[in-house]
Amino acid sequence: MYPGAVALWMSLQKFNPSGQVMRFYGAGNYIKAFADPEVQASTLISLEYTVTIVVVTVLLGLGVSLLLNEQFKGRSIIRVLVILPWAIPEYATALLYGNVYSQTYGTLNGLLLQLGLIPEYLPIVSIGTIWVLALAYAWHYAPLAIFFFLGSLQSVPEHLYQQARIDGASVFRRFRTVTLPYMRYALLIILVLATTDALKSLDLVWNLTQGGPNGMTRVLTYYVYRATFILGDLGYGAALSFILMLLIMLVTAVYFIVLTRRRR
Amino acid sequence: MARSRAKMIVLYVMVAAVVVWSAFPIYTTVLISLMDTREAVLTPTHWIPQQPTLDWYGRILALVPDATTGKMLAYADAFKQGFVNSIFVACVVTLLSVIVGSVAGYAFARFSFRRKNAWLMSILLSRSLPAAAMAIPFFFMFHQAGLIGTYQGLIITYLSFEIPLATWILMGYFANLPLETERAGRIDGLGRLGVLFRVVIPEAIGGVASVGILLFLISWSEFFFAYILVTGSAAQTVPPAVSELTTIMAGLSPPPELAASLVISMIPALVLGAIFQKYILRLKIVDPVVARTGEEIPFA
Repeated sequence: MYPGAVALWMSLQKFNPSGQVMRFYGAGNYIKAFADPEVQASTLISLEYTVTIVVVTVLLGLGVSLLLNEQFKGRSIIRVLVILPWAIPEYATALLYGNVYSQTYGTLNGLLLQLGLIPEYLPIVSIGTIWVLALAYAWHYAPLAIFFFLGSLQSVPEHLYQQARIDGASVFRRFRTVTLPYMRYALLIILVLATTDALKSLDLVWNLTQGGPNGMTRVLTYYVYRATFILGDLGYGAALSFILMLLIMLVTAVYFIVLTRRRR
Repeated sequence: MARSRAKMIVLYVMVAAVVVWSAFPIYTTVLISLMDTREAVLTPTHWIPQQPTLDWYGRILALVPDATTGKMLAYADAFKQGFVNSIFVACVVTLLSVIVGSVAGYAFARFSFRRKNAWLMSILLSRSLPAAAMAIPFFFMFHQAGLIGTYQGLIITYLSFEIPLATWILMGYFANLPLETERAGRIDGLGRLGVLFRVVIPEAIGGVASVGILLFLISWSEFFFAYILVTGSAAQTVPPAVSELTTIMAGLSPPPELAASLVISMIPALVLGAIFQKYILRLKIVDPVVARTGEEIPFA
């Protein structure tokens, strides 16, 4: 809690660029933040990033967990393999994807070129901007959803499937009426985790694009870092970080309400 | 249940697609790390190295000198030092967090005291703070205290979020243990701490060990605080050391050098992750679940 108190105090001071307190500034930093067009732009980028990650994580999690729930040879080893990317740190994910996305030697460019889908190597990050980064984050994050969904799939009683099959229910109907009720809780947990973790994410953007090109991947966390450590305004950075924390707590609170109400 | 041949083929194709999606970035990086600098940037990509070489691994670990200049790689020192630092910091933080977290978690699980819920709430809140926000007060405080670029600064920072995490998870573990053996321990004349360390922890050793591995991986993987607090110092850990190859030396560092150091840096996490996958992921999810709803969930 102590660092939080220090941050609150810092957000109310005016700092000079060399990191010394100049004077008490009151709400000045907060007023500046709400008028700052960069803050609005960054918030929008953060939302795009977060929504993409959450959607991809949930869809991939559902699809892959249903697939890996089927019986086939080598299933247990494939499960371990497919879930393993969660163990790779976020910064390392960024550097791995640097090799995939690179315009000079990237393997995604190599693959698309050899498949004849593109005529020459493209600057993938400049074209895809924040979406491309969100995809890399989802690669690192979806395994958590896959693992969790697989766990809840195994709690579905087998006789319900058999019953539904006897009743002649289609695949989609079986999923909706039998599987989904057992997964609802797992789904909500993953929604909460993916949303808050995506909003908190910084290492990936930092290591892959540094907010570029032209600030198009400057998520809110990166802007906090930039305002504080590159532009050198500690007080303004602290104020921005409080706004970010409020946003995350708000999201958590909304989910919390939804989650507890659904269970009753 | 019998299935048609066609269905099995579709199933295997889909499984193969998922495996390719998961493995592609890792394969890419291992591939590049085994090439020489010239082959790594060829268009189009070679999917299998023509002359696979461990040369870059040798250079990064300072086992072989550069073939043309005959000198050892300057980066190798920083990388090796980073490896030692990372292991040192992660071990100290894990050990302290598990010890303090055990005592605190046991207290939360077994005793009632004033403002217990407020304490629990503050632990929970500290889990929702982004590193970008927390780095600011830590940087300011350590700047004032002269702890930038030291082990102490980084260790204090990691402890500040790993002790609450350890407390939180271990509280759940201890609360579910039966009380009988603890009573027996008390009757045998052990104090509260004696009961904790002689009876409770040995009983829950599996859980305590998986918490330890989770905490070790968190320290090992942490980039941002390490970058802000110890970059370029003697206390620099692996993540900023590897990341530095893409930023400060941008354009100068050949792709295989980065790829090889990335592969080495990921090995501990991948090995621990593959062996203890089930236990650690269970903790990772159960932690926020228990935190938010206080309920258990079914698991594979």
